[in-house]
Amino acid sequence: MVQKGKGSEHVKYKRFMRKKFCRFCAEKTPFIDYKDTRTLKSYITERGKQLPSRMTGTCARHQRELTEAVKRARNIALLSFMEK
Amino acid sequence: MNYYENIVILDAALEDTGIDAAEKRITDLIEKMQGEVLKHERWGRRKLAYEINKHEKGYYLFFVFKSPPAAIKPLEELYKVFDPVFKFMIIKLRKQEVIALKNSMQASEAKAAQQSAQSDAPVEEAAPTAAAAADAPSGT
Ligand SMILES: [Zn+2]
Repeated sequence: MVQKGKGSEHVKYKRFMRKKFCRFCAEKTPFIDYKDTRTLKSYITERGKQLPSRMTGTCARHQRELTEAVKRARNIALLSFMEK
Repeated sequence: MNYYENIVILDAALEDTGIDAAEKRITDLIEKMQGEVLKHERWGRRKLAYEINKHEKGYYLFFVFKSPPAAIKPLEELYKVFDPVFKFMIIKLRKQEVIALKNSMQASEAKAAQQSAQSDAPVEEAAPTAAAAADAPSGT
């Protein structure tokens, strides 16, 4: 409470944000399936853009895999490129 | 031999006979190229996430097959000239995906074997295995 500067900012941040973790690591997903649009949809915005890992907490490896899966799903029209 | 996954989108206006014919033509070609179709599914008519060549809907076919890499080129050539197909995607499965595929095929084989064993067995003996089978889907 008495803390100033960076410390208090940190406390503020903590109050609003739950600890993020990579869902795919936690569930030990063997691979991310591009056909599983329900999962993919939780990692894209309403307009269809992919969410950054800093928002979702996905680790670098799975973020890469996710990007690949989203691209495949878009290619075959399971997901859209842009929701107007 | 590699494992591939293949989605083909057919014209949604196609009659069922046309879909049968298209599916046969694709599987025939895969087999002709020394491949083996491991799974084929019909996802049916679906709304596309975006328009492709003025199509709003498409009939999705899904194949999983095992074939030499040389089979892919002719397959792509077929899709390019095959009228009912307006979009396709062939993907080579990675190691983890191949493992998952083999596991799922083994599981479905085991299930089929269990079912046929059950139908042969007398009713009293079949009861406990039936209970076990009922538990199984919730775990997977
Ligand atoms: Zn991860």
